Amino acid sequence: MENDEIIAQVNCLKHVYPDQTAVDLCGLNFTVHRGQRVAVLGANGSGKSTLIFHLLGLLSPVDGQVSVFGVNPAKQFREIRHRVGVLLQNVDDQIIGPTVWDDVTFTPRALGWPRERVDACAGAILERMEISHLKDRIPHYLSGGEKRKVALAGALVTEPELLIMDEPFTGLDPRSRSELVRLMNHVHSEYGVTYIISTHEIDFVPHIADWVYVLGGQHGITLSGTPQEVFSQPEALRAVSVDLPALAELFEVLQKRGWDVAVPLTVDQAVVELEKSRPGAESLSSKAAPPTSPPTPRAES
Amino acid sequence: MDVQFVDELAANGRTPLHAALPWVKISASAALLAASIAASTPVAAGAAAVAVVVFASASLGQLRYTVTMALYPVFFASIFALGSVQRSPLFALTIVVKAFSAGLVASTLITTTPFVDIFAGVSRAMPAIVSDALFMGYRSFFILINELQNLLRAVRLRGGAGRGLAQQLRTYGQVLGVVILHSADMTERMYRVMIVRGYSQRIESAREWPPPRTFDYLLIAYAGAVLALILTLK
Amino acid sequence: MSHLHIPDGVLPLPWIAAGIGLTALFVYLALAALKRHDRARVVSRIATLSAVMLLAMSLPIPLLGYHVNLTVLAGILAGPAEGFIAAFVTNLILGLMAHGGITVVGLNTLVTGLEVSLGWLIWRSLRRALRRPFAAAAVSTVIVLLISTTAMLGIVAGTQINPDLALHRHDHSEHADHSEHADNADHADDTDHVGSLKAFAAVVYATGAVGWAIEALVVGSVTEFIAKSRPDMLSPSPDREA
Repeated sequence: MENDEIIAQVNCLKHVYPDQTAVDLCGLNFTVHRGQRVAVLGANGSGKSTLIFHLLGLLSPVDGQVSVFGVNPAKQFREIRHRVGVLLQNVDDQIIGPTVWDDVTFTPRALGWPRERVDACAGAILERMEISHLKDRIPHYLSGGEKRKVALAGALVTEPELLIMDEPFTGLDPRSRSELVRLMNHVHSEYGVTYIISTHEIDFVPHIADWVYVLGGQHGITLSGTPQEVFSQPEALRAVSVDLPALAELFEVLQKRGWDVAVPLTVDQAVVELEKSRPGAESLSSKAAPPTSPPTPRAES
Repeated sequence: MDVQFVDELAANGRTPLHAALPWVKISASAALLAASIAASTPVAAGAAAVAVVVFASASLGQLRYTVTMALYPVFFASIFALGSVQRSPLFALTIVVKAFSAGLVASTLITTTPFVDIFAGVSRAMPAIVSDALFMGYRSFFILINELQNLLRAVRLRGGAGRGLAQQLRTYGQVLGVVILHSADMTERMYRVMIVRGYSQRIESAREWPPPRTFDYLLIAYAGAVLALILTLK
Repeated sequence: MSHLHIPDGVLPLPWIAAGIGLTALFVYLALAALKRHDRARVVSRIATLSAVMLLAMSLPIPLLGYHVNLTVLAGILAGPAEGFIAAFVTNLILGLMAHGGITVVGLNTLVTGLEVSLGWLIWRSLRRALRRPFAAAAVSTVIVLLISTTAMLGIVAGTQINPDLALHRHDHSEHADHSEHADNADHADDTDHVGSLKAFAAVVYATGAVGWAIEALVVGSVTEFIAKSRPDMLSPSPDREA
């Protein structure tokens, strides 16, 4: 699904907030190709939200370049708004409409779409998100998971090419998190949506990302690569206060104790590695392990 | 004034008045409100009050709460009535009864009709900025009240608001200060969302409603008849 | 409550109409003053300000049964233009909650809007004179509430209709020829009227004063807290002073 077309690019971004807090995102360049699923990792205050807000044109850089669909979002976001969907950290703030239906139809109505098109698209997305029954509900009576789905439906109703998500798992219970991962991957495979997601949920990253950027605060973007490549550098990650996924951490300890195993990122991979290591493994390792769903995350990050 | 409770009653209640169409309830309430205010004699005011109580009774078990809500304007009306009570106790009583009737109409409407539907009707007569602030302000209230309740709980768990009224009021002020700081952050987040979601025109409710049923017609006819009667009596 | 919410059915129609008309005019002027500002920012600020005022009003202070209004604080934080619109939004919601009349939303908004605007004005003057934000905000609050309560009394005095006229119009018209009798009755009415107003004013000032003290203490504490945590919020940008 991924191709060479560059959708978003950030080069040596520098930003200074009114309280003089400076965020420096130099180091490696940030590039997102069409069809890619990109995760942005980093400790609190490392600049993840700053990066997201620059991509959305909500902030103007002091220095450096930001480009989304070939335009500077700080100046021309209106031109690309219909191509970009957004899911922000606090969905309570994101839901503007007085009812679920009003909220999901908010952006297409703002874009001036004809009523028939608005109704058709909103009806379809509510159905795909399995929230048609919530259509007339008032947002403050929805559960956290339902609100997240409503917000996602509102982001996807215009069929955006790029979906930007800032900490979308915050405040969700484990089941709702897994459900959101399923929805995100469904959206990616069905619509080919490119997405950029900032998150602390390291355990989910192998399930939701093809490419990972790690922000290291004052060091800017310090690491990038596939999840496998990035999580095979535990020391570099720890240097910027980013944990390994639980499985990777476990297998790193096993490696240190002399086990001959590669570091897995998913339960499937872990099963294969463990099968290989136990006595009589050769006959068993050929049996494929059944696929597993995303993990239930560890304690709140 | 428990806004949360009122909102819950309106959103989740299952009474005949809840089932009535919002525009019917708003129209009927407007007529009954006009009747309550137009009543200028004790007899007319009394008749309007009875008619409003009959209307409010359709909210069944909620009546007790709506009557309690209507007592708040009665308190204020009593203060106003003090200005006339020496010269004419009947006039003072009329003022109080009118305030009760009008308050009961409002409390019945707001506890049986979700705010979305009331605001959708009311806001059309307003400039877009004001109507949008009305919708978003009401929603923001429900976000902030959760924060306030959490903070007040934290104060209690940490030993209470202090000794003496002055200290308690200062603690209360500090709690409100925290909520206001959070509200400032919320303003910024709300602004960002509005920009990225393409806010440019009026926030509206696009809810569609079925055609009126017998109860809706009865409600309109009742309110119209009450208004006509009071205009005759006044 | 630190000030009166006028209920429905108390005031005559011309006053209600005047209240709505004047409020519409001031809202229009406020919108005109905010015209050059970012609409999304204005809406989000007014919305959260209204929510905070509504929140304060929905929270009774234990034992006393009073609630604060934070109108002066709204003026301090948002200035007169956004503050006035927020006062209107809040009063409209309160009216629908039977907490102040629906038909008198206009007059109630004029009173609270006056508090917002005066709060902004007096705070700006006192902040320089008094060093502590607490003192400046608390004193501003007391002055503003004293003025707004007096304005409210002015409305009541101006709208006091003769109860006999209201209740016995036909009797008066029947006896209109008896001028001497009528003059005497009018004189007695005037004396009663002034006496009633005095009684009314005494009750309002007495109950109000407790409310002003509470409101002053709370507004002072909130302002001091904000001055320590986010002083930038107390020095509004030119945007907010529109």
